[in-house]
Amino acid sequence: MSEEINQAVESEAERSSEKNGNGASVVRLDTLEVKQAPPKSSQKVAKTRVDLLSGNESIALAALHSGVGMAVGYPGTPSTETLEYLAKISSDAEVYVDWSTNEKVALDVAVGGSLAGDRILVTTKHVGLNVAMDSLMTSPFIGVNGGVVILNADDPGMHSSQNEQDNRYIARFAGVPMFEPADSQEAYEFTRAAFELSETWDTPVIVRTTTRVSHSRSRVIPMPAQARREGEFQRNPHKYVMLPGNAKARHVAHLDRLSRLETWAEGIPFNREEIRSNKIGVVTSSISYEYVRDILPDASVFKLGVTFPLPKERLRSFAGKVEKLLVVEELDPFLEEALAVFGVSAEGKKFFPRFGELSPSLVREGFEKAGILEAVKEEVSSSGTVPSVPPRFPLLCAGCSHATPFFILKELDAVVTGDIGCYTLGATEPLASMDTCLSMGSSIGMAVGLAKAGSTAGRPVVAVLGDSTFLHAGIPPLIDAVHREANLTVVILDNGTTAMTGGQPHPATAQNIRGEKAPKVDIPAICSAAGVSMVNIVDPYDVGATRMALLNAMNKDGVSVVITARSCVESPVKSRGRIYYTDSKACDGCQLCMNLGCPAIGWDLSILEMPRRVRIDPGLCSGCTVCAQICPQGAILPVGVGGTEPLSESGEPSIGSGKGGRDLA
Amino acid sequence: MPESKSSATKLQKIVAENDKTKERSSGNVVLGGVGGQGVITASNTISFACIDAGFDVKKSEVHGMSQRGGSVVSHLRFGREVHSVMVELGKAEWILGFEWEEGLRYLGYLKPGGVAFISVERRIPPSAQVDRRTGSVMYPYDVSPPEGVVPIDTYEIAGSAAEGRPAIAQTVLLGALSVEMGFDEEVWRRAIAATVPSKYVEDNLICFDRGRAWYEEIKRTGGKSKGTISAAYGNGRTAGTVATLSGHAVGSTTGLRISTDRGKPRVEITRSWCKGCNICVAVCPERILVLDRHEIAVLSDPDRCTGCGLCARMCPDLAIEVWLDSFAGNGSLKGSAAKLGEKQ
Repeated sequence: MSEEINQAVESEAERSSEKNGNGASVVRLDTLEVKQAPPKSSQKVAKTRVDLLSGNESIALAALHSGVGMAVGYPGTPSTETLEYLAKISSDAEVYVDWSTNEKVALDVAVGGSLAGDRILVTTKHVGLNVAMDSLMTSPFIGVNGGVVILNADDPGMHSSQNEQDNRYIARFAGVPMFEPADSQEAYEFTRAAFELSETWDTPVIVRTTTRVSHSRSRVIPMPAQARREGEFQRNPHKYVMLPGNAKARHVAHLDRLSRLETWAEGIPFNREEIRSNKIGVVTSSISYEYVRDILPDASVFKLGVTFPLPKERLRSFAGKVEKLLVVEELDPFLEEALAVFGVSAEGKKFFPRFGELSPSLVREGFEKAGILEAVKEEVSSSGTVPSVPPRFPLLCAGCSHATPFFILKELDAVVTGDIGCYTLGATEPLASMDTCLSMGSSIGMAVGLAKAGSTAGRPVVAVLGDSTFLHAGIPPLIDAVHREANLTVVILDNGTTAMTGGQPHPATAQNIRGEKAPKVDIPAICSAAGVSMVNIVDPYDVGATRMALLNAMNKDGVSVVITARSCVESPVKSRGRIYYTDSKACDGCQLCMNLGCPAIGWDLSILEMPRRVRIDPGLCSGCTVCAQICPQGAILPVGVGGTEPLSESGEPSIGSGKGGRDLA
Repeated sequence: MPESKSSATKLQKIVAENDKTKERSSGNVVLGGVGGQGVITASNTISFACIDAGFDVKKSEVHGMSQRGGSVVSHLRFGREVHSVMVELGKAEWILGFEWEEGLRYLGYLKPGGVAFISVERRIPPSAQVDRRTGSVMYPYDVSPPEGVVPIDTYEIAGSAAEGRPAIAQTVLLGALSVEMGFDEEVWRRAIAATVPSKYVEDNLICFDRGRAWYEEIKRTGGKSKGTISAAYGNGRTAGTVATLSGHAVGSTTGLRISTDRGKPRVEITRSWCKGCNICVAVCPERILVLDRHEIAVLSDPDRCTGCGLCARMCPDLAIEVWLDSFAGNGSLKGSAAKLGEKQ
């Protein structure tokens, strides 16, 4: 299914289809001509092609138009689509785009690439930037040659993250300028400006988005594209080698730049004072700006496009123009605190939550609490009888190769330290066999701690992490575990992709982001080289073999590794085998198969007998065979093999999507 | 079953209300469904139509943890100038539900007088099937649709055009929506052609036409014709399921659970025969058998036992027996006939 609506501008399409010699259509020309000039943008002409781009896509397009020579990052929601889109709209000759092993590597690659003269884009989610912090903190000391722009995508509301830290503080901490776009047009314009700024001021620049900006689509009117920047590496050890002696001088230069940047921030067009009523003034940025404009259309607004450094004098002057000043910002009181330091009194977090994502409704509530809006007895919910509906939780896919290891680990009663990926869902019912999850790669380190300190009451310690996560941050702790002689088993769930974020390649897949062949890193060899004496590879679709492999590994002293190798059922290619059904005569309703948490397995509501008999949704079954292997009654059979098969398609399917997405034959 | 007459009059009111606002200057749509149902594609199609009709559009999508089977929601706003991408609660003119439960989930966004087109397609998640002892399903079966809800049996209406492909049938929703949103029909057809993979365009257009015709018919007749709301709600497969469930349903006050409690199973473990081999502990689907400190099997949480009898069947020492109270409810055990583990 195509997720994109109309794509880049005509020139863009021509450019990329020209350069992509393989004939693959890279950009769809489904663009439309605007009939009425939309009132939004000033530089628009009557006949413009309209693009409805996501924030991520806008940043990718802006990077391409800024003549970026390289783009790197590590997949992480909500930033992932940026590099994928850039790879799609550019050719290899134009831009080198690929995933890095982790975010720190990406930033190091970027700084190096910049010194070689190219403009570089780095993409990361908020917690990903933590991984790159070591390099980020010193990178402004070294500075740039070609511009370096870091896309940092925060995830307020934790749609797909383990925390919701506010990375505006990182800009201040590292002393790096930060742009905050509110929609796709701004994401495009600010990224273009960020590259210029980076080179002008000799520092990396952060563009911070949030999930709503990254994943919302709105129109983008692009600016003329620039050619790829040209430059080359020139030795400059005083600036590039951060020995203490050099770093001291660079720190002074860094601080000097910061004070000059503060002056710069006073005059830039990215911060905008919108004077309307003199009663209420609101200081805001990013997506919150849009909510404020909708809820309080008459309020004066100071809209910040650059949230570090802040324009002290302009904010003070704005505060003087209104009777009451409020701050509307997601997460921490970053702006509110800054205003307090500037001696401007403003209220914010008193009325607006400090956690989660803001929404128009929450912003309205906040203004009501502040006494600015009257609390209207809303006509919300027309009939007043909106039914309450149970939540629908995310699930491992039908046929997920991660189900078996968790199913067995539960039975073996191991203490399981988990990690970040699809398999974190192994912590949820019914698999419910993961005990911890902290951050990327932390499973192995935590397992060392559990094995070496305190007690686990005799329960074996098992660390579980995915292949991409292992390469990202799992190798140093594995070395640590071997060296400490910790008694633990590491299970690497190797599905050959970075599945959680939509199936990106990593160094142990034989592909790069453009789907071309790339050298493959050997995970078992890495484990052996780290000193692990027992490295077993097993197919997780073979329940018995997986159980034996896990038992053997857990019975061994020291560090053992079990690699469950089976490609992801959904990506990069959907794998489907012969599907299975439940023989309703043989099924006695023990529901052991339902402990796998497979979404294809549910109750057969057409059978009245209790306990509920089980039915496999033919539209969802991938044919992995795992449920058939564990069924104590042998009641789960491949379609076409004896038994009492369920009613045909024309009959009365009883549960699930029922109608059967695929032909049974 | 919902009362068809009052639904019909309600709809007539809605229809009359919406005819007044032919000339639109802005609007909000919330789309909800399950991963893989085509929610994002449909919101792309609507965006495209809005742009074609000369509007500014913003829309949001939720990515990330919403894998296959999770909730997917998309907000779409259009107008001369759009600020927030998120629709405020109670401010959506239209809701499209691609699945019954997911459509109901977002009803809080519906504006008074708005219309929610909700497919009666049902995807009952595993989390709704966890009470194994009673077999209760946590799913809003017997919720009669609140005002403004138009239940649509998309698959039925799509007919041959979507045979075996429920995702394509959902374009019926777009057909119905197009009647309410009031852009030129050609605008919609262009939008579908532009946003749907080319090999599916034809079938999608047929579904669109059928949905449009179905809803126009409803509007014309005020819901009294062949394709009435009640007919849609109580149609085919869905009705069958409801009837089957209602057969032995004890609807609770929330209207969410369908209870089929049949009394408690009883597990007897002969301690002196148990040698602590752990087999029953390993096989119990409910994971409620454990070894006590004497290495003898005990039931840790008898309330969760479903009476499946797997432990009794697997016990090499015949130390476990599982008894079921009689279905007839006369209180007495049925003796060995009801003892599980002795399958015929």
